[in-house]
Amino acid sequence: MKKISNAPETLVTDELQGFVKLHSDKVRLIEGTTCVARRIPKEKGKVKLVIGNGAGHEPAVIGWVGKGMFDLNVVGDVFTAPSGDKIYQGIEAIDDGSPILLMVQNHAGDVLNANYAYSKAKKKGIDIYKVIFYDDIASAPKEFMEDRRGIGGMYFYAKIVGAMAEAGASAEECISMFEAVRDNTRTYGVAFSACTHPATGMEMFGYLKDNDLIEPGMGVHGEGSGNHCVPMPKAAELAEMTGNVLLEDKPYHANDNLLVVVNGAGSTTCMEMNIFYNEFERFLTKKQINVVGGCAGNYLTTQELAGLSVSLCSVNQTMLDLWNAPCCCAILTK
Amino acid sequence: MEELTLASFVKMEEEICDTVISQQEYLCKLDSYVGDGDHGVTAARGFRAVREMLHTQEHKTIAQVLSRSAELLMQTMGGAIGPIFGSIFSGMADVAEGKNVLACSDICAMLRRGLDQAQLTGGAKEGDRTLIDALSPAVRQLEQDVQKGETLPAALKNASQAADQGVENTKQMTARKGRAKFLGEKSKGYQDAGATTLSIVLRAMVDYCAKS
Repeated sequence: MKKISNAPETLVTDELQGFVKLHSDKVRLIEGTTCVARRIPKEKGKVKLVIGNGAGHEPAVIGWVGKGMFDLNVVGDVFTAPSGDKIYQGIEAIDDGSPILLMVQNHAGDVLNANYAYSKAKKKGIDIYKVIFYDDIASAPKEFMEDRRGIGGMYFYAKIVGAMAEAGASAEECISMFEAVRDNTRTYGVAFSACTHPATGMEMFGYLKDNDLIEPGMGVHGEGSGNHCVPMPKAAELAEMTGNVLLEDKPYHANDNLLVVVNGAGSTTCMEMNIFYNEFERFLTKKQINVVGGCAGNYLTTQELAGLSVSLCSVNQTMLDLWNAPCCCAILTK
Repeated sequence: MEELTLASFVKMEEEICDTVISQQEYLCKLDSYVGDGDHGVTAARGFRAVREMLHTQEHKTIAQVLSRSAELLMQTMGGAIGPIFGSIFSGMADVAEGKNVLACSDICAMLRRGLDQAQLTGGAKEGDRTLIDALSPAVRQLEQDVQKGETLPAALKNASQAADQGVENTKQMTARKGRAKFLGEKSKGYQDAGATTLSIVLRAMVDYCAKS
């Protein structure tokens, strides 16, 4: 395996130390932990957004810690949710009596550990709330919406609810906005290549190596089956294929106002994402859907996996204003 | 060996740790068929932390050893497997409270509580293709053998075989918990990595009791 590292055991700590050096104006590492917190805390009394997740998906979620987005990211080992105690320690370290909103991406480990941290914080008298995000339409049928995985659509709530909390909204208002964003969001992904686990050196998505196949509906941990592979289509076809699945699931209609996030899986080139975005915007316009905002980049990644996921969120003016509101974190400054 | 004292219990747990750590690569390989292939790393990280604790700390009671183990497994493993292994050990600690020696019936009651706690934490039932599919038949077998008055080594051996059979059965199951559930039918054909780790733990207990 040709990956820069010192030892498998220190991947995460080494990475986080580097990250906070690079972005020392925005974030800091809470000493003795793997918690990345805002350099300058939000004013007391405002809702603080907290999330725990496994490492290996960078720049998510550490890259979204900063003004107008997350207040704290508790980082676990590679592709492994941090323990409930680690999440609790992070929360305790930033607790100043302000409400805490613990945001959870729907994956078994993330949920179990967040539940533990939530109960412990509650017992200790911390004013804590918890919400769960799910958006991946490939992971469960619509009737089992709450079983769906939480993936790239998290960008929407991080930005929209983040801006709301920054503006001083109450915990109840933040939660109801979170739920509106979640209910309006759908994500669908396709993988193009194999990638390597940085700790074990083992190959993931090996069935996509040395062929022209792509896999629609893969997860972010190699939990795809390789059973539904199709030949690599042209950009316009790929946009249509992903677009149709997304539009049908929600369903989104003509005249809807949509935000679009094209999320690269890790090694998807900027060129490809621009080409894809162009076709995807064309597809939506043909359906008379309004694209009111969009972005593309390698955000929530799986190492050097190639591929992308498309996330859509239908928004009203309030949501759009929050999406466009100022923020300042490593990935994004508005 | 018919009973486990604090000293022998610590030695047995050391054997468990060494065995799981030695199987790191094998467990990663099993996980790689249906997941991200790092279950072995996660399991070894947890049991390495426990081994370190066993070697460096002074232990007053069996219950203390078990609750320290539970806490370490939960903290260092993370993911879904951390809270689940943590629950097994903390359930066992609850039952071991106040006991200086463990007879076969004690170990049986401890594992039963551990199983119940793990199911409470993870929400998995038998047949969901998780470590419950190894632990559950093992506990049932142990309960039968306690009724029959089997010796500790013989009862553990039977329980371990029941767990091995349980692991074998996971090959025919469709995952309904954890990441593998997203594979649906495709998860069939491979044995569950978590169940395998559980069976390795039981086998280490058998091996320790057989040679001591």
